[in-house]
Amino acid sequence: MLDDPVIFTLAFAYLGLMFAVAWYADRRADLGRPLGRNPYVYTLSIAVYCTAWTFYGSVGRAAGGGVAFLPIYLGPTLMLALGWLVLRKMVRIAKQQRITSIADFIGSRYGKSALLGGLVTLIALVGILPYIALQLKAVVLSFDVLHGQPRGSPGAGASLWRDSALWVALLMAAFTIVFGTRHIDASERHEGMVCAIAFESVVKLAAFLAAGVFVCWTLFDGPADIFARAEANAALAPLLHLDHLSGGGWLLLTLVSACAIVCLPRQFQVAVVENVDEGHVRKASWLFPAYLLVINLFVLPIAFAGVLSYPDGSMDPDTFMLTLPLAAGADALALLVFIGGLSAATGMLIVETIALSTMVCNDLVLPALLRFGGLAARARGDLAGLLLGIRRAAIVAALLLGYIYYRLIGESYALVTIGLVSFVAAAQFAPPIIAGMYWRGATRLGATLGLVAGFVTWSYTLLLPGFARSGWLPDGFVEHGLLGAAWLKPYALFGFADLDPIGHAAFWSLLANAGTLVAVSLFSQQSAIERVQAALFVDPFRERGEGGAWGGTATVAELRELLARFLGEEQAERVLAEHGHGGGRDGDDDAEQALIARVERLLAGAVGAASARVLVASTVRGEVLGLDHVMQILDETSQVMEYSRRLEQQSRELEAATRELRDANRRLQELDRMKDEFVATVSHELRTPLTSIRAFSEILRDNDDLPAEQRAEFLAIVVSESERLTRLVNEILDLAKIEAGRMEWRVQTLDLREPLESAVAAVRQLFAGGDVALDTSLPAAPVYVEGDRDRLTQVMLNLLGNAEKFCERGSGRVQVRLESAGGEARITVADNGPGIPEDQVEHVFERFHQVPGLDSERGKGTGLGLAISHRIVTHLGGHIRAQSAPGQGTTIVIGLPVSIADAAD
Amino acid sequence: MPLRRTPQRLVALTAAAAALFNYPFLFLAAGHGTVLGIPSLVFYVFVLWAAVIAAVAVIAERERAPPRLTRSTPHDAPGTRDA
Repeated sequence: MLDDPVIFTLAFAYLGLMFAVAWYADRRADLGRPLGRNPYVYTLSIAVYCTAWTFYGSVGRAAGGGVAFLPIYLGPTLMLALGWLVLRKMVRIAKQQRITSIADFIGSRYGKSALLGGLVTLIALVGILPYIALQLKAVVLSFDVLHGQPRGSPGAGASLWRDSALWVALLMAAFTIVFGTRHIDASERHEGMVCAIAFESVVKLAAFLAAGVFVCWTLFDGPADIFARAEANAALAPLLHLDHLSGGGWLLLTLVSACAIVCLPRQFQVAVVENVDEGHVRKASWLFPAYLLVINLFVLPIAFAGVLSYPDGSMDPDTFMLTLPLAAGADALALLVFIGGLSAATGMLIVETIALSTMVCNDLVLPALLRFGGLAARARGDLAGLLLGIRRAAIVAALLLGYIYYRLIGESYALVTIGLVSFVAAAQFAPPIIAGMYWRGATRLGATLGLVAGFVTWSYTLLLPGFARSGWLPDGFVEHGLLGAAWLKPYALFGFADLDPIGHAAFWSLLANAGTLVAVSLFSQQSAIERVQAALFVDPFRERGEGGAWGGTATVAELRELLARFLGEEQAERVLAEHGHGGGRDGDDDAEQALIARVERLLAGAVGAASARVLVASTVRGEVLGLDHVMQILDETSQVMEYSRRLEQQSRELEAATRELRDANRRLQELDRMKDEFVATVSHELRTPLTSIRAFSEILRDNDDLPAEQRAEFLAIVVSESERLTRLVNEILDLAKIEAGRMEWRVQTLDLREPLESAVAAVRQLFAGGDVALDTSLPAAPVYVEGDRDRLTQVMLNLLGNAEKFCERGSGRVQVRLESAGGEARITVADNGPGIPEDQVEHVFERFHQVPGLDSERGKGTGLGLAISHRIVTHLGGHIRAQSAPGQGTTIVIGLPVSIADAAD
Repeated sequence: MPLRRTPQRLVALTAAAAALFNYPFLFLAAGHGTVLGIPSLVFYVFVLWAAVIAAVAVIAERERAPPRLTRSTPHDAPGTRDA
């Protein structure tokens, strides 16, 4: 047994330590070096989910139900697995809308409805009271056990401890007030609180693990030993199997817990409102489930160890965490466990009551004051102080109500059952939230009636029977149904009795809630602001412009006054300065629309969306553009815009397609024209030599008396024209092959000097006969290119033949040069012939192009040589161009890429 | 818009986990004696739990890698380059 002073000193020291952590974190945040803005603190703060209930109650439930406690942790695991989708979306929405609580969230979604926000607050308040009572009960229980009253019943005659719960409640209230409502600006993040929660999460985890290790390996011989003995124990053996479990109950409990992890006001507070960076959700989505896994590792061993140690059932299973170490004389460990449990309870109470107080203040009291108390019209006063006052009062009230609930009912239930009552209540928020985020059509009326239906069902199936069981209500309706109607029995509605009360209530209440929501939504109309908010909630990831739907005017001074009353002078000045109205300037000017919208959002962060709207409306004068009107305009405009956007896109696509078609058509026509030309030219070119051959042959045939020398001359002409014909046909074939891609290429790495030399050798005789000089200048080193030897020789023969053809006899001079520079081999063939007119230069590579007025006395070319050369060089990856001017000769330059192997040398 | 499959993967994983954590599978897992001294049901639930957490971690953290842009290949206009 431990002494009171030790327990008290330790408890106070620990609470002091938590406070110190919070104070330090706040200080760091003020200095701009925040502690808690990382995914780990965020994850640990979500672990406020593990309350004293987890700490003591899980063991209690496991002792009676084996693995039946697990759905409470598996549900959140599943929900967090979707965290990156669902939770992140909530965080994004909350940031955009400056959401302060879950009531604000639901109220905002359904048209900034004050009624709905108030309803959610009421449900939360009533629904969470059992949960608060649970924490008080757990703390008192742990006090009692340490103090030596193992039965842990406050009514057992120890008058000194009789009201310890009251003292705990008051102490917690004081602590929470100091913790959570110190800031004037209520919309800011509670950095200190989050860090303190993260700290307490570490402490409770450490305490639980320490107890688990102690029980498993000091009292017993490891978990296997405990499980083996449990298997042999008549009371425990069935728990290791599934006989006692109901599949439906398990499934429903998983579902309810999955909802609770985002719908409990305190979870919404830490996971959504206090989130600083939506990227943190990613890490939390698996790290938080890991935390749950670890903290639950020892639940079953401890529970079974407890049952094995107290087989007669003399000990409340909820206290095994403490009684096992105490019985073994490990007082220090028992104290650590006590601190862990206190830690878990304190963390929950702080966050829960802060969340509740914000809701009560923003969604219950303020709207009521605005509507009935004329708050907006009240003379200037310190409204920030009023807000804090309301919140503090709400904290005290919530804790005291929790205490009363505990006094009324707490003694007749185990911890887990009390907690689950709250879970089912919180799960009622899931339908309006989920529908609100994913279904534009959910209406305010549907959400309101759905919540009412769910809440009524929950009250009737869980809350009221609880009161009845504790004797505060006649319990006749529990046994026989309301007014004696058997189908109205709270634990067996419509005679359905196969589920435990929790699963039963969860099923009917969620069914009533979601069913009503959907059905009513499908048959009711959304107002304009509902439609706006629905769009914002369903699609928060789309970028939107700023701006509100305020059509009226308000002066800057009025807005300043409004801001100052709720946020303080300092911040009001800062905001106005950002909009260029600092230092009291432009007081009588009309404020711009952006400023009015900004003020509304800022106020929403302090007093909730619904109240903010009323407040701003109270200052905006004159022609306030009716929101319905605006929506109508917007709706039409956006439809028209969407329509015209689509039309525009379609016409753009059409245009592009048309352009492509036109281009293709032009190319086809061009090709067709070229083909016709080609055929015509070919026929023409073929006919010329044929005609001359035929003419001379006929002369020879018909005139036997021709002189021998003339006959020889004519025959020579026939032979030469035949040769030309052959050449022409060959070249046409070559060209056709190249163009059809059927030419056979033997591309290899070769020394470019070789085709050059062989071509030069082949034409040397021709040049000598024509009395044209031929100079060659080849480099000493080989110039390697990738090429086809025969084709390149053909190109050179063409170029040299052309050059020779157009040179003057005697003075004619052709230079061939090969050089390699900059990765390119360059062949230059220059003559000093008559040159080509400038406008003809670019056409010389076309088929059958003959430069007009440039007939050589050595016969006409085929007009295909340069065309073939051009295609060969292009195919080999090179280029060919002509430079010329009349009277200055012609230079043909060929560039070919040097072979890579060579270029690397 | 790059195709992002992380949401689909998370939804599929959650659905699979929800099924595996529920009755028919629990029934199958129970009553097979012990694994490493732990009753088969308890062992199944905890190992599955850890596996689900690991899978979420892998899927969620993968997305951190810069998304690969899927770009349509430039459409080559058919054409001839006849001189």
